Amino acid sequence: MPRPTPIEWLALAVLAVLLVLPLGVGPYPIRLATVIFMWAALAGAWNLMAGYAGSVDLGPVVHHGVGAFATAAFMLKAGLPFLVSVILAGLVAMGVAYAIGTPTLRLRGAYFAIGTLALAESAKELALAWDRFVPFPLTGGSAGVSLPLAAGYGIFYYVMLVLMAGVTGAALWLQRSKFGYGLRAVGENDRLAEASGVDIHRLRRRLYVGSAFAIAVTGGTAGYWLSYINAQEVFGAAITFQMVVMALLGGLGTPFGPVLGATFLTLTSEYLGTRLVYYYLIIIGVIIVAISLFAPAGLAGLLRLGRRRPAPGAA
Amino acid sequence: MAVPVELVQTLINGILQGGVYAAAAVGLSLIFGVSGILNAAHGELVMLGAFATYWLVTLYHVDALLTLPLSFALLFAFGWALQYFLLNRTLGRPLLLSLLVTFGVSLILVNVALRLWSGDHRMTRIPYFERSLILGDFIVPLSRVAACVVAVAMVAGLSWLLASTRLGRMIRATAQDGEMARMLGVNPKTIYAITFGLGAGVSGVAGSLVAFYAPVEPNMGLTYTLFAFAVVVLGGLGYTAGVIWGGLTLGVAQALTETYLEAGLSLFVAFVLLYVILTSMPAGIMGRGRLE
Repeated sequence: MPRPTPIEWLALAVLAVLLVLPLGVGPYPIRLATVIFMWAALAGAWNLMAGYAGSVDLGPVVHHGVGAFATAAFMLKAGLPFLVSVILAGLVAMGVAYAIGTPTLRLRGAYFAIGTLALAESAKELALAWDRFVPFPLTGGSAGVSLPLAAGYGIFYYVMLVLMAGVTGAALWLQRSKFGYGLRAVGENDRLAEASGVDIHRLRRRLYVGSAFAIAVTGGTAGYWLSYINAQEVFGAAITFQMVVMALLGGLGTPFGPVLGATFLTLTSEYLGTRLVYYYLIIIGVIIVAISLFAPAGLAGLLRLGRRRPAPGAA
Repeated sequence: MAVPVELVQTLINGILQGGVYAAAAVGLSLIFGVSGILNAAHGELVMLGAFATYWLVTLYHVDALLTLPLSFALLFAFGWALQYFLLNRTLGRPLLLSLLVTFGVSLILVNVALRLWSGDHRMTRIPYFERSLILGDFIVPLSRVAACVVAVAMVAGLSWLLASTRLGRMIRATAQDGEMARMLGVNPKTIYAITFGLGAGVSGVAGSLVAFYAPVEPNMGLTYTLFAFAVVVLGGLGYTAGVIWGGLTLGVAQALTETYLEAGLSLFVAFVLLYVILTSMPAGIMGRGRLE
């Protein structure tokens, strides 16, 4: 294992501060930090597939929704504690991801993007109709499901922090391991992969299933935190878009990019959302267009973080 | 033998809806086929066309059918500018970048529309379309017939333009090999801008046709983006006339679901159909799409 770079030392120091932060500040900064960790975990999990395996997934909300409803089911129907439920929900999502990933991951480029979008929308419609067709009610239809209120907010802060750190750690590991190197070297080129004896389909599926776990646990935790979930939202395309935008703004294929993107966009929304309620989505749209046209390597590229690579235009 | 009234009525509804789906998708297919841009703001172009017709009819009492060329012209200019000033900068970059830029544009369009026109659902009043044709046992709303006829004519016109005109040849040449087209004296950036203009123009007209029979609101776009993806994939990516087959398949499948299963499942059926076709027949139901 090579020594950590200065950036990674800095990240470890920040992590250490974050671990003790709740001792020193009030509920509002903790809530805001939890939101940032949540989006960093989601965007980071998306970045694993898009940035390291070159597969643009427009349906990661499938795992998010499965995680949220499975967590609710384990807590409400089986009476299990939250942490056990959310881990079990992550495992359920891994099973679902394995089943749907096998045919879907054979699609390439734009086809994979559209196919995953179709999966997410089907999952949403299925969840909305579930209780009317299946004798085992689960989703509450369009009314949704209410969860018990949690005792405090500390647990959410730490679970989301662990998720963000875990996903970022996975990205750092992918940069260095043979597994990640194989994925990046072949990228989208399947024929090259076959010629070099790499079973790219299997590698990509492993990554897909692994990121599904992280997304599902984040979704389950968010559902319990809000103590209310409904299919229209937890399977909603808006969550996908936000994940994609944060990862790209931060810097695709960089380990700290999604964290930067999530921090920037959450703080911007928090600031603009309270002051310019009516205009903030317009301003977010302008920021997205401007950064993608003028700084396509994202915030990490502006700050020169992450691995060095040729500008995207040179590919 | 009695005619199965319910089934025939369902098929008629599905075909009429399918024609409009085809028109709402053909622009997406054209732009993707020529410039390789997956336009996430596609549905917003449909929404703008729908509002163009609504306001022209409501405020200025322009005849509904006359709003179609106006809607085309407005959206052509908008689409041309979008490609010329923004999207031409993404040429040669990864697919994701154009997807992100157009997503940003869609966010701006929806929220500007919400600010200007609020989230109200608005119905266009067109007296001469408020009647229905009664054909024996069947009821066919005139507004839907008009929308479907214009939609199919427009897709046919666009196919003709691509196949048989000088501009069409230049567009096809650029789609095949931009660099080679440039060497032969065609400026790809101009062609991309004209193509996006054409794609946006026909999407605007599709929106105007929707305004003939359905309410108009700023958030209507996302549905049309998703449907357009479905229609284009069903017909075959990069095969422009395939949208007719894709649109009819989607329209009829939804109508059958609404009549015989449940209205709430019609979107589910649409997306499962899309997914199954994509994984099993990626060249579309007619097998004439372009494979990567």
